[in-house]
Amino acid sequence: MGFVMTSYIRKFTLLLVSVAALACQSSELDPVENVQVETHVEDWRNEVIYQLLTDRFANGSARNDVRTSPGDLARYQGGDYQGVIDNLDYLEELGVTAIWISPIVLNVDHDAGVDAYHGYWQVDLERLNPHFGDLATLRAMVDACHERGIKVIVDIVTNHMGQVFYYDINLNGSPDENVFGSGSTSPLGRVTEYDPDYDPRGIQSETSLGEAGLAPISFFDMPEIFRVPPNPPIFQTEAAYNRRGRVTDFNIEEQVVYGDFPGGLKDINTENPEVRDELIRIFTDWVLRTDIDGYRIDTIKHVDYEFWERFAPEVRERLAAQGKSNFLMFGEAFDGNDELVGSYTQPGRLDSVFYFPQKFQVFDDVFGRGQPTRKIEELYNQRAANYGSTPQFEGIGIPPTQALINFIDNHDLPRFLFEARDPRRLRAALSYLLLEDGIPCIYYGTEQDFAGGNDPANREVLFTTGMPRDGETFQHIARMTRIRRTYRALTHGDFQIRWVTDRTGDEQDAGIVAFERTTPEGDYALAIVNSQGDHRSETSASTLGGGPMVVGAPAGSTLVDVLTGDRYTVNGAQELSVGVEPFGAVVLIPEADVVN
Amino acid sequence: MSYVKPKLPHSERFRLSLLVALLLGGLSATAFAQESSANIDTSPETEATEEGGEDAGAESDESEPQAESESPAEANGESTSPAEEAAAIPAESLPEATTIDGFQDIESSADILPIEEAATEAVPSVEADEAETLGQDEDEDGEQDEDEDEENDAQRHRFVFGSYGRLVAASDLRGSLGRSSNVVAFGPRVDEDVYAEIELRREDQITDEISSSVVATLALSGPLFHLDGEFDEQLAVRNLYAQIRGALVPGLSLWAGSRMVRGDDVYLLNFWPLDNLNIIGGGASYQWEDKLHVRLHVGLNRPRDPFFYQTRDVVATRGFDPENVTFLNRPRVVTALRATAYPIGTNQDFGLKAVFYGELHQLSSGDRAREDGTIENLPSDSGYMVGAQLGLWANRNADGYTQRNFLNVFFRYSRGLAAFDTFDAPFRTGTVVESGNASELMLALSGNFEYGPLGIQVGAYYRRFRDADPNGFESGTLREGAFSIRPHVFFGDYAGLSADLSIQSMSTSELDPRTGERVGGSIFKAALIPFVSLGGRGTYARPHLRLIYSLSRRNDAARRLYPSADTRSSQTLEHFLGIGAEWWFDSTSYR
Repeated sequence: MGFVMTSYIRKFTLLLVSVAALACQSSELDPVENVQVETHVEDWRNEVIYQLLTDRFANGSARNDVRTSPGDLARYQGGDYQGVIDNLDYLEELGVTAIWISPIVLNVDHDAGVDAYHGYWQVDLERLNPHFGDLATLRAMVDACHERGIKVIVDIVTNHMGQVFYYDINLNGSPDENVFGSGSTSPLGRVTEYDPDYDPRGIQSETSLGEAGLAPISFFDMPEIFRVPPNPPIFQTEAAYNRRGRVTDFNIEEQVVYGDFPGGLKDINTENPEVRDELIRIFTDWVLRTDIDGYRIDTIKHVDYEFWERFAPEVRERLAAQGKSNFLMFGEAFDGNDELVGSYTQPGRLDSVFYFPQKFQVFDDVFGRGQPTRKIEELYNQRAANYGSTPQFEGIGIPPTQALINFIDNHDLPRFLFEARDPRRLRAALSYLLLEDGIPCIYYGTEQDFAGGNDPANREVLFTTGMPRDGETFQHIARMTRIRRTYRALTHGDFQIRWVTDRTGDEQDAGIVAFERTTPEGDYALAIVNSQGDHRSETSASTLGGGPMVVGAPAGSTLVDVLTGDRYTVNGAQELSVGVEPFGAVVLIPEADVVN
Repeated sequence: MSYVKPKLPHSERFRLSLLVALLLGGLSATAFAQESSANIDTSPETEATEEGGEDAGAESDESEPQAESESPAEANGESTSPAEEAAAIPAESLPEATTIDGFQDIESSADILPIEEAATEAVPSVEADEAETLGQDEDEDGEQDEDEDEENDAQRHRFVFGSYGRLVAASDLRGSLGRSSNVVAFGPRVDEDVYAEIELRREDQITDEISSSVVATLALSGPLFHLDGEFDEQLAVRNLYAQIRGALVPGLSLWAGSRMVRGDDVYLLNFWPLDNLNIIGGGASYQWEDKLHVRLHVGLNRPRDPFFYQTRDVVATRGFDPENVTFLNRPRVVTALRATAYPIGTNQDFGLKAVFYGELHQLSSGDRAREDGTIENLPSDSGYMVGAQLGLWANRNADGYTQRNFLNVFFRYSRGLAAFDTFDAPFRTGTVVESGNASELMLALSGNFEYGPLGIQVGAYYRRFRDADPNGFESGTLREGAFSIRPHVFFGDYAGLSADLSIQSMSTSELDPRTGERVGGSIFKAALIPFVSLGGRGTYARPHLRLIYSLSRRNDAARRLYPSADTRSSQTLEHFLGIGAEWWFDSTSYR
């Protein structure tokens, strides 16, 4: 009996030891538990940004697929950080070197039949939106990206909170869609307490007898959709908001700065020092917690300049103290006014802006609608005057004039193909985007020829497509990004236009834009894009009484089109006539520099 | 039977009966009296049991001869499954129950005898005593024979009432009700809640070899009507099955119906670390002498969760109103096999048992409708569990009591579907619909040691769980554990003092966005429990009346588990002062 017992005990002990060893395995959290903040970017001009809506790109985790509504584009679809991790191969093959993801913080989940899948309805600035994953997964995503040389940019909002309170205009303690006055002193009117129209005095309460002073605000308490008093606590005070109601005229600067963003998004009083300091603290902390590489900042033109002059330098300073430099902050000023957009890049402000004027005047008008390429030059000629020409202190080290975020599509406008229709036209625009100076930004789904119209139709679900990589546009982007990475002139070179035209018909040079990229170190590239699709065009006006394009390459030098291998020789007058196929592009590199 | 209760004067036993009846809220004084009368007899069934025979109908696992009637209570339907806890999915809400380590596994019908019967066993002349107690003072031989025949017949065909229960009324000393401070799935039970079972059972001894039983157990949990004034206590049927023994082959027992199937528990943590099934189905068990006991159960569950079950309204074939059609209706089929070996037999004061246990979980494929009306295919799924237990026991009679000493260690590993409790669904929605990545590892320990008026219980477990999501982060991946130790001392035969010290800790693979640290927490808990043990001395003697004071100390991380509006988020210390009772008797579930 003793032997039997001893045998049992020995075997069981062995089993326990084995199990204990299993139990002590290292945790999956180990790699992401302690973040070491580092600088991961050498020069932002080397990067190709890919803007993705986290909810729409890829769904990698089932756990957070809560309250999703597959196929309904105004509702959550299930995309998350794990989906990004799972699809980095896709991004790498496309040639993407940076991703811009949706706002990460907790949002009011649902409002007026629409979900906060986009992330712009923030309610708790210190919590993550659980639909996208937790902090560990976000860190894992950032780490996984960094391992592949991909940087991560997070979208943030400093202008407004979500629909977190209503104006109790009729003082009845409940949110009302309509408030009607009566009597001779109080004209009838329709008012929504969720989103009343702008009043420079502040939203006024009103009873049947007339106005009754500033309307109190009342926070919602709907925890089931995260529609609760916001966090941090400063945002639960009236002083944190401007409380003037929604913007009704975007041409009035006061309304733009102090008004609520349409949809009931409550305008933050960024002039309040306590509020400003909290925003600086919070958005610095997120960088330190996640090691991300940049911020895209929403609705900057709705925030006072002074805020940016405090926010940007302080964030940079705090991050630099922690070892994070070259942190990119670029803003979204949704406006075609080049001077206005550029104003946010003046000294002491942001590193860059989303280049809306180019979106409208170049990509939409020239490439989308076939207008003269002369518009490219006209816009470019304004750049030096409108944009900051010196790098921001402790910023990315590049003057804003050379670091503009160029884009064809984004999530606020109908996709390029919605109007342009022809994917060849899109590919011509992509050629220009990836060859010009600045930092190119590709909106997710462009590579799949998505053609959605206005929001939310332009926010298609990518992961249900199977994410093929053999499409012509996908391959075109992959080829152009490869070329951009290969030739330093295309990332660092100065930009000099060599040919634009007013002609858009069947003329010899119709639709042509040609520009050189040169660096002080001697890197050189000459890019030519035909923005029209009717015929082959040339960099010459010989049939119109003019001559060929004059270039900066030395006379007699041989240039090679790295797209086709065709060779061109610059004549003695430093002239070069190059024919470009409809919607085609030519990228000429000195023969000696060509990389096979 | 080796478990001996103190010999009590008749008047005391009667008072005990009365008190238990009162504790049950007058549930059934009549039933209790009936039960008491049944206890008078030492039925053949009981004796067979004492020799390691089949039990009287309990779910019965194997027997551990040392474990006797007053032993373990068992919890019912521990619906708080590991998976439920891990995935934070609301369970079907079977309340937690109670257990008593080491003694669940008893297959002896004696195990379910009420305390009076246990006392009987300690006193050979009990029958006469009981007769006196009940005023059956027969003088004439003929009348006595008739009475004995009737008595024997009553023994062979009887109704039995059994129960397990615990009640507590507690304050947090801050003006609110006391509540549990646990943060792990199986936390120390000192501040547990209300739960009770009422069991009615019919037992028939057909022949000396053949017997049958029909068991019906109703469970209820709080809040009780007398607390909230709501006439809506939650009820569940925890057992409803029939069992026959020896009808086909001696030693073979068969059952069918709905029942709890469990092995040994860890009393201090109130859970069953190895086998703990709640199924509808059937099974068989067979015992080879006192060396090996094998049981096989096959059953199913089909929770009302869209992972298993979905109905949809469709256009009616006639008329106007839509018809509700069952669209998805796939049960999880569980097959469980358990073998228990007693290398040195079961009738020893010292013993050893080794348990090997396995489960196979299977789920067929099916279709369900998404919100948008499109159809989603759910593939077939499966999983397995393997586990083992090693138990040692040594009993000793001293001062008229059986001092019970035992130690059980458990190991369990589950994969796939079996990593989730049978009432739990791996996923509610989403693109991942297979449980293949899920796993659970469980180690546990329970023990009890008694010497004279002193005793000490221990319980501990470690658990590592990962859900089926490919993403290894977030709260679906966790590690947790608890250790609890409860020494006690008796002052005389009926009163004593326990101290309960415990620590529990859990850590998920989720990071708190506010701190960047793991989401988790630890709690240290110390409690003092003066008690009156109406069943006399012994760790597992019941019923108990108790005064409970417990002080829990949370660390910072544990406080952060609660929303800021919850007072626990700001309380490092939490008090629990309450008065309570716990009992078990004649229950097939709690032995």
